[in-house]
Amino acid sequence: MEHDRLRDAWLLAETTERTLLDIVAAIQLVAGGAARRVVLASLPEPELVAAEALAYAQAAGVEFQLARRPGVPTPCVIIGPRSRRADTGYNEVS
Amino acid sequence: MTDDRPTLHDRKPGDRRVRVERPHSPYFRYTGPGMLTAKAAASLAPAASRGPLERFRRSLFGRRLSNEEEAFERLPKKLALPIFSSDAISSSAYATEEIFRVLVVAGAGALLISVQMALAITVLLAVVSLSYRQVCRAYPSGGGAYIVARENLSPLMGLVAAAALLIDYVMTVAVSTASAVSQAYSVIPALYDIRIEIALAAIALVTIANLRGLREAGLFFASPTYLFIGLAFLVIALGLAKLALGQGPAYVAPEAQLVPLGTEPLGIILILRAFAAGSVALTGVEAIANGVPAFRPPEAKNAGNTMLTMAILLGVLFIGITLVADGFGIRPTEDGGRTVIAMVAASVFGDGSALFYAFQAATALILFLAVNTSFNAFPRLAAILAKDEYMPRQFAFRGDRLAFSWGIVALATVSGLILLAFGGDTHALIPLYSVGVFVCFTLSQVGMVKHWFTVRESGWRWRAVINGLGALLTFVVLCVVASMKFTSGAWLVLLLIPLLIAGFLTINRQYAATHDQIAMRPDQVAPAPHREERVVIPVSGINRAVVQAVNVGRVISKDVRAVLVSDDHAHAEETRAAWERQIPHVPLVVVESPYRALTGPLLAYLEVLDRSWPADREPPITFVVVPEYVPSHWWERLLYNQSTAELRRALLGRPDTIVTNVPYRREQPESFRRLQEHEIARDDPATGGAPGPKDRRGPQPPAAV
Repeated sequence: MEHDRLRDAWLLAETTERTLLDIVAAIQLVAGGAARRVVLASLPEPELVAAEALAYAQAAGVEFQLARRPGVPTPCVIIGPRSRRADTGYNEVS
Repeated sequence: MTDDRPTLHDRKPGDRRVRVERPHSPYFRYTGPGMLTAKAAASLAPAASRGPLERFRRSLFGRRLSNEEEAFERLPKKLALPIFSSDAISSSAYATEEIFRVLVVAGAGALLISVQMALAITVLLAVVSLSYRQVCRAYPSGGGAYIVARENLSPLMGLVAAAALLIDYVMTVAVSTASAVSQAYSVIPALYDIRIEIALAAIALVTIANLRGLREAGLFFASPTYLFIGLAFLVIALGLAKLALGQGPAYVAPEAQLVPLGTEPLGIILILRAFAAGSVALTGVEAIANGVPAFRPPEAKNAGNTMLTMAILLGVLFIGITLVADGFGIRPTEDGGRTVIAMVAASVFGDGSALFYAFQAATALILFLAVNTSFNAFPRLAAILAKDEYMPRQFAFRGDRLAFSWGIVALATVSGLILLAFGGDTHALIPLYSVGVFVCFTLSQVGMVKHWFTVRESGWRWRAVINGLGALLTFVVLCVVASMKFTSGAWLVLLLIPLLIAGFLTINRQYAATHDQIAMRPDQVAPAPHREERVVIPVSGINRAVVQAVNVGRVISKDVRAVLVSDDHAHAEETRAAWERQIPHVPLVVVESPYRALTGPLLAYLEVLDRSWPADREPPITFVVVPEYVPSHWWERLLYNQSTAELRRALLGRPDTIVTNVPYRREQPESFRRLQEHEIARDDPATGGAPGPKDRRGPQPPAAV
């Protein structure tokens, strides 16, 4: 039982880390100007990394949005477009 | 596949029930434990064998040959003589004229020494042939001057010889073709205006013949060579007989067409220039020594004897034609006029006679076919250089017909371009010709002297003397040829040789550097994979090819994401919604790009993906799994996968990145209909997902979809 719990925790940590990496990459893509907006769909456990991702987005000066749609279990993450004032903009988490 | 042998009744009851399964038998033959040998069918993709391109290729070049059939491609002496000697023998058709063209500036009297000049060149030919006969015996694996110089002098000297030889082979094709065309317009003057077109067509013909393979090329070339030799001997015999009987020539060219007699004094420079011009007669002598492995066993002996036969034939023809031309007082003509050998034939047979036309046709043919000597020798030398990593490795690959296809095509291309550049003018090309030949003559003879001093086998002293004499004479002639022809074109060859060597060395360094990087130490044990993998799948929407690629990606790693680059917001939203519904377990990254390109934003995405990876961990291997639709027909390829090809090119060489193509083949309409019925039945809750009767009859759906 203990072993199962540890394994689940490790898998969750691995999944959230991967999700965060994908979000950070998307933030860099928008911040660098290569994309106007990046939408990340079917990303596992985005809520768990939302706070940290938002901090990254604010630091990079891009919009961050967690959009939930009816009938779809996981919310999608929308990165961009770039906000007018980096670091100080308020980003809504819905 | 089940073996169709009859059932064997043996002692044990179970023996009757044994089925021998040999799924590989249509394509491979079992040749030992863990060893399969490919049959002809294995090298021919089933789809390719049906295509119109393949049918055309087969009709042009013939069926594919297996390596085992190479033994039957060895040449008997009677075929090897025309193949390897047509270049040398055919030079008797223009060598006399080259001497005459130099001597004519000193007046009619100077032309009289052309016979002595031909005799001196024939003595040189005898020495060179004897020297090369020894090369055949000492180096039965072929390679000629390159191998001899490389092994006995130094690798750099070997490269000098190789560069000179390659230039010589290219020039042989250009000069012989141009000269052959000049024989043709000696008879039909109207052909002068289309001489380049004829020359290029002839090169194309010889190229195709050589791509078909050695033996068939030999049969193709044998008869014109023997016809020329026979008719040339007839011309010489009848000409000498006429001269002995005091009869005049049957044809005299109009004075207006002839090069005017000059008044220059006959000095040593002019004599040396005439000697240098006539020394083109020696070109092609080394070809037999380069092609020893192509002879039937005993290769070295057969090659040596063929060399001797060739030297005797060439010497007799050269002296004979010069004697007759000199005896009839023949002078060279201006550009576009008859060649000296054509005038010799007309003087003997009579202008317009059947024998004259036959001789002209045979001369033109042997000159056309003389290029075949180069087509045999150039690819072999290029293959040896490629094996030594001085030329691209493709030159060492044999084509379907056991010919070195790359070398053949390269030779045809370069010589064709030279012919175009020089306007198909033989006399403009000749100054570039013999310098390279004498460079490799000298190097190989010096190398042979060193060889005899090293091996010291029976009779080494007199062998060394023969090669030493050859080295001395050819070096003197090299100096004469290079200095006398320097301003008229030899400078170009002297410049090209170091450039080619620089190219060889650059290629060699490149291969060596690559080898150092990819080689494994003999004591090194391959480590287990230790880096993380992640998968990026570029998609344009949702379809069966994409689903298959996603499934392949999920086999590679758990870390998979699809990437859609789009400049169309509505399309992106639509795809995202469909993705969340249909492929919910794989993340989709929709990159809304302000530009309309796929490759740039995707590369940028891969860059940021790399940059966002934690610095304290080893970077992962990124698999870019590219879904690719495989069209049913060749013409459909123009319609699909263009951006995929561009993406593959862009990702080539990207660090830590592996590009994986996942082809999706279109089903036949009937199979696809059954596949759809199967899927509907499987997904329909009413049938409980059980396959219907049709499904059991039809093909199974692709596992990946």
